[in-house]
Amino acid sequence: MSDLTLFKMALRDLVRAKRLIIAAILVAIPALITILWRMASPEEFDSYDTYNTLSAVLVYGFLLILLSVIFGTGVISQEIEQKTIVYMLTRPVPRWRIALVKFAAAFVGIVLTVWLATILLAFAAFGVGGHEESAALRFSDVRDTSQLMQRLREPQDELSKHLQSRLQDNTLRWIAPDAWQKRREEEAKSERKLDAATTSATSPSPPLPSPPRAGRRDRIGRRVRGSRPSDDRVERLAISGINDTLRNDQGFFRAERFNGVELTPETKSLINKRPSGRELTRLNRLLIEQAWPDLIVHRAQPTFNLGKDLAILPFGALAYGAVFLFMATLLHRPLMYGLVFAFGWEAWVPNLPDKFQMVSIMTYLRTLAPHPRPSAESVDIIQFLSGSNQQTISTTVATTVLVSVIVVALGMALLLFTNREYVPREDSE
Amino acid sequence: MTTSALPPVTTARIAAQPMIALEHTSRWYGQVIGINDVSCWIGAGITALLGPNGAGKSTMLKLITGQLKPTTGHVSVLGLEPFANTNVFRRLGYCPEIENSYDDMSGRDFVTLLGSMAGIPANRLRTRVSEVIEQVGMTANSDRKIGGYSKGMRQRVKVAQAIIHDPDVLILDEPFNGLDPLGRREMSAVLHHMADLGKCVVVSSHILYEVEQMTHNILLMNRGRLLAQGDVFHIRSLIDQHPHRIAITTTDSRGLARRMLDLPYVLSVRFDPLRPGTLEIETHSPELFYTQFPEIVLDHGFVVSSFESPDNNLESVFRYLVGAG
Repeated sequence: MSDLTLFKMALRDLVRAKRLIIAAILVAIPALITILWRMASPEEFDSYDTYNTLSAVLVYGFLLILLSVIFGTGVISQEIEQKTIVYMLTRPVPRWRIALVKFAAAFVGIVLTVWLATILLAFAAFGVGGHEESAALRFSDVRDTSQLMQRLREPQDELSKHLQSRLQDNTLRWIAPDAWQKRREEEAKSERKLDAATTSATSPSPPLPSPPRAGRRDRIGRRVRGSRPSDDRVERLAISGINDTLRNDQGFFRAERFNGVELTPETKSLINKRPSGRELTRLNRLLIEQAWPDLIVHRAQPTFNLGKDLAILPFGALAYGAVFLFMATLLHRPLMYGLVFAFGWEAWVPNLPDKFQMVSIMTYLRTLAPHPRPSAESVDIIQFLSGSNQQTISTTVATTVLVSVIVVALGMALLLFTNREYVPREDSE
Repeated sequence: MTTSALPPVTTARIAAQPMIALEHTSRWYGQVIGINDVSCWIGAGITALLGPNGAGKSTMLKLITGQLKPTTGHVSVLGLEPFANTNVFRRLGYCPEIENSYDDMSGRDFVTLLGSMAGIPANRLRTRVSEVIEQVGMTANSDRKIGGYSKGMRQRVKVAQAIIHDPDVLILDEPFNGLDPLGRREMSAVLHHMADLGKCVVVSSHILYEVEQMTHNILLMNRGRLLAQGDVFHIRSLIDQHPHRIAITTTDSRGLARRMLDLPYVLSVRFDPLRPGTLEIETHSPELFYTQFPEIVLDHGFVVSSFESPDNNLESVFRYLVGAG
């Protein structure tokens, strides 16, 4: 009876007007971003990628942790600060039980909020305006990256040559420096020709170094100064470059370019349609898939598992909540330390090399609720934050670790709460 | 006067079965002393814990209500160690000094929550909540949010939550703070009612006259030490070895002065220059003086128009004890 009253009171405390507004904004953010993305680039929008990226970065990586910090530490720290904790601590209810009931209310608050955010996100990604799938290449669609890079570096067939020729300077430079050099020389030559033509037309005086040329050289000069990006980055640039071609190149299909390639009926009918937009991307993707079946995988059904996310989120809430409750029972300013842990530790550690990842809760949550890598052209920071999937940790290990974290953190928290004094030192009586 | 000059505390008027006992209890906050080597026994009835701000009253009450653990010594309430002890809390009510409360709750919800946590069965809770709210005079305002309460209203709901489970031991930290005279009277009535039922009621205060009107049983604290415990008269008798002043106004002040100086226990007689006809007598044995004085007056036919002892007032006892007067 008293547990229920306390639970209700704690829950009601969570939905106070001010907090509700902030919570509503937080809940809506992933969905709003999705809608904006869809509006900003309707051609490239991919429901699956958007959902997976935003779920990993915003729901798991931000909302879940943030709410866990606030609600998890708030279970007791707010009452300690306000000193109202004395009312709780002088009741004939065991202290561990008070903490547990209040923790349960916080847990429900966290879970309902992240669930709502996830459902809204899913609805925005798949529901509003239908679900869209981009046929662009993902990083994971390439079976053998080094082989692909090799083909772009030293094109042997027509397709490779075409792809290389369409790469932008900045990409080509890192993949095939020779080809890039050649392109620059040719460009310079043609520009000189052009310059000569324009100067001779206006005046007979000898050509002076024209401002545009100086500017261009400058621009190139600045580029040259940059250091070579990592292999991984170059590979992503390459895939991004190929995707540009797939999306925009209406002349991608040429009979001689795909000579000897066995095209499926679907591809052939698309060729006849001379499509544009999304269908063009799909056609070009099918063409490259069928031309290089050894290199490019057939676009598989992308993963989207709302049920799994909804199931794993409470698990995460429990783990984070327990850790933050523990902090609140132990430390003086738990919210501050909690935020440092949440957005310092938990944000960076999962991206550290193998062994280091093991000391972060997020690593295990990602194992349980994987969100496949977004396609190559996604913004880098998101790429980085969402990190790579950990294939090295098994689900069993992840589950065991998380359960242990929950049990130990919660147990320690309840034990501490039972035995420590929570009366602020009396400044003056 | 130094505190060590006091004779050992006696417990003559304290019930045989103390409900609260402290044995050489000390509590430090780091380097700061909260209370220092306090020993006392508190039984049924109203006991006032008296002392200036910073005397250690709140610390002592927090030790009794199981929020703090003593650094050294022992605290027992109803024979049990109180820290986080639900068996103690079942029979203990506590009205803390803090003004903060659950501002978003109504007074009634606040009392209901704490009442249910105090173990009052659901079927009786509603009636019981209304009862105590009535008792503290908050029926009219009980459904408003605490955030909008005056200091006095907060004080009342705080008391309501403390008495809702009809505790045997009731501890109130500065319960008169913020109350108007009417509120004080009502509060006093509530506490007397509890005391009449044989409960142990401990009230802390730094204002003497609040306490004076309510109980004669006091614990006197200053700078973390317990200076004295007992009846206000008893405490006075503790200081009887020190001069005790009595002012007498009479028509024949010279004649009376002469008589007084004959008494062996009168130390000095002084005429008050500001009040003609008033003499101030210093005695180290007020009890004896009070017994014999009426006889002397009657025998010699003195007309006494006023008779008062500034030392009989708790405030001066207190000031005297703490060396301020």
